[in-house]
Amino acid sequence: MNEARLTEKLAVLADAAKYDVSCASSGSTRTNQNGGLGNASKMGICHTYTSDGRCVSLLKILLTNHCIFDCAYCVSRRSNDVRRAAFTVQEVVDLTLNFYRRNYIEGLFLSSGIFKDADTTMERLVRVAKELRTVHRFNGYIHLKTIPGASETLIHEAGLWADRLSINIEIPSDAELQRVAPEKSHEQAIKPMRYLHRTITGLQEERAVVKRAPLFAPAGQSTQLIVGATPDTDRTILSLASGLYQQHRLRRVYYSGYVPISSDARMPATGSTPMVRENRLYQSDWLLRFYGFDVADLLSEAQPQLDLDLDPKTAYALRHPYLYPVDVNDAPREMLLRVPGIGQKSVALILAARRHGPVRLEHLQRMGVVLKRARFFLTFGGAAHALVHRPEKLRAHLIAPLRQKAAQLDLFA
Amino acid sequence: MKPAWCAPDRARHYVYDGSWPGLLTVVFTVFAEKSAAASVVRDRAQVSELFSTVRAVATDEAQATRVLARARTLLGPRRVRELWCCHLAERAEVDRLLVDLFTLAFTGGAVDDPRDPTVLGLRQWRKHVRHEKHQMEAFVRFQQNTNAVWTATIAPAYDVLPLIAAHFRARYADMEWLIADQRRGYGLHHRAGTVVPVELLHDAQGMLPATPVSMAADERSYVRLWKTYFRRVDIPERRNLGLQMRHMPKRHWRYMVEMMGA
Repeated sequence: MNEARLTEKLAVLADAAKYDVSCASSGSTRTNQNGGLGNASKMGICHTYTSDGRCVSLLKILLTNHCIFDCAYCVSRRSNDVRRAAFTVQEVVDLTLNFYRRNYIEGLFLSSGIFKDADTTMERLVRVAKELRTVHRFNGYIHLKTIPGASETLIHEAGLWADRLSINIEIPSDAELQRVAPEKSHEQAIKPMRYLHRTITGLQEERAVVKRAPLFAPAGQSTQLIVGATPDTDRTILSLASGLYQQHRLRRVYYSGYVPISSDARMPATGSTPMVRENRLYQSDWLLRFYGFDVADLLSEAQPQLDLDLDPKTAYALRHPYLYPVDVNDAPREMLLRVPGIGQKSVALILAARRHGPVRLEHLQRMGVVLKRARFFLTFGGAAHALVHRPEKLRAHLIAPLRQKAAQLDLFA
Repeated sequence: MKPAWCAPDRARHYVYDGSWPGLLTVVFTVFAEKSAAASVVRDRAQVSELFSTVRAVATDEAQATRVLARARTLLGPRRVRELWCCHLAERAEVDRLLVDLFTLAFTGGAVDDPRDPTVLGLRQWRKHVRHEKHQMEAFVRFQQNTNAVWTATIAPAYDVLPLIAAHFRARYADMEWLIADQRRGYGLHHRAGTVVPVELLHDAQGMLPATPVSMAADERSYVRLWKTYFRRVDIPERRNLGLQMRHMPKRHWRYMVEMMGA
């Protein structure tokens, strides 16, 4: 092993990959049946956390940051003056195996700059995965990037070795994408997604009948959207995400707040996207997937941006005061899920408790309900809270402590 | 519940050996003697004998088996396994909740009513123990030694080695490994598909071996490469140490190579 050379490459190619926020290692059904190395954990595992509080689950690297494309938002674009490096297939395989054996990682997340053409790049990614699976009997998690424009034959082969495949749309609207990334379009990303969706569902049906049908991308596919690099609204972003969940059965859409990494005239001169915007988008994403909300519940043409002061569920409740209060002992599951401060687990506990008798305030507290929000929107058979039908006042009341806290933090900063 | 001094002949402090069959024997004894448990402790020094009756319970496998069989019928094997997980927390508070829950089950009470403090309390403890298990599956760091054995040292808050054995056996099926619980003085040793608990040997000072003496040739190189990777994926513009600490409590850092010296 040439440690110095490897260190140099690792530094460059980990640095270039870190703006891809996906870190999930969950959702796979791969198990260690060949007595080899590794098993994918259904839950996913974060093996460590960096000082920015982000989970490190996979060895996330680029095969190379040489790239023929010139996407304004990307640090590896050809017009950017950065150090370039490239791993060999063997180097990636060795690093993955050795990190995995020490329990540093759940597996590999391999992406790449497009160094020659799409197929050559994709072929190289596939070769890494294939070698891990066949030569080294590796059963850990592998996430491969689908290179836009790669042939379906190669994408298919990638699906045979990888647990998850992803292709990043990056810019939420097609027009903006073509402005900042002249070589790209939404269709270019959607086409392989469509192909993968068809193949995954097709093979799932086959597996139901023939047990030994091959595993094909068992953890499905995901994508990433960059937030704040272009003027696209939260409504554009969430509508796109919602469409992707419904039409292509994506497992996850990631939202990556734009961090200005170097100057390019096509990008906004503003600073980083505030963390809170990214956070509100994730909260909304959860509401869409697990709480029965539609994009239209959260945003409209008149109001295309999320409220940064309040979480999206509380904002919804304040816009629809006539739906509240919700009776804890009587309301259906769907309505309990729409109460701010009550999550899926609390709803399950409330429903279980109701079979035995009336649920009171002190029970909710012990069940983990966030009462400082929920109490305004609930009744226990009695009267509603006085503020529930005065949304303006309630809004001010709910925001006040947050403002105070922010001010205090400023004071000590 | 009445304070213990109201009914000195009934409410008692039970002292047992801390084992699972031991706790089940306590349950048996509480029933056999028609008494109420004021507390269940592993160490006699924790209770004052001045105002209360202390009852030492010797573990009885036959009684434990009877309690277990009855519990499995009433609660189902899965729920009983969850209770066993809670017991690994090694807390007097949990032992007490467990005795209360068995009592509830054996007297026909509702054992799935989340309004009941015993039911909810055990649910929360199950969550704590599971969380610790999950963290250990994440934060264990193996190093390879010259004798080709992979070793790791941990000090979990709860006795989770029995819970993580299956995970590591499946994951590192082709490795010989040892995970040592420094706090409890025992470890798990895996070779060729079999995991056995082993006692750790203390050195002359009564200390457990922290790091094995001889590392394999490449070991330090991979540790350095991993540290390089760890530093390079950080985004310093977004520093959030509070969040990092919440996900990865400081007590684990001394066993994680990338955090050593942090």
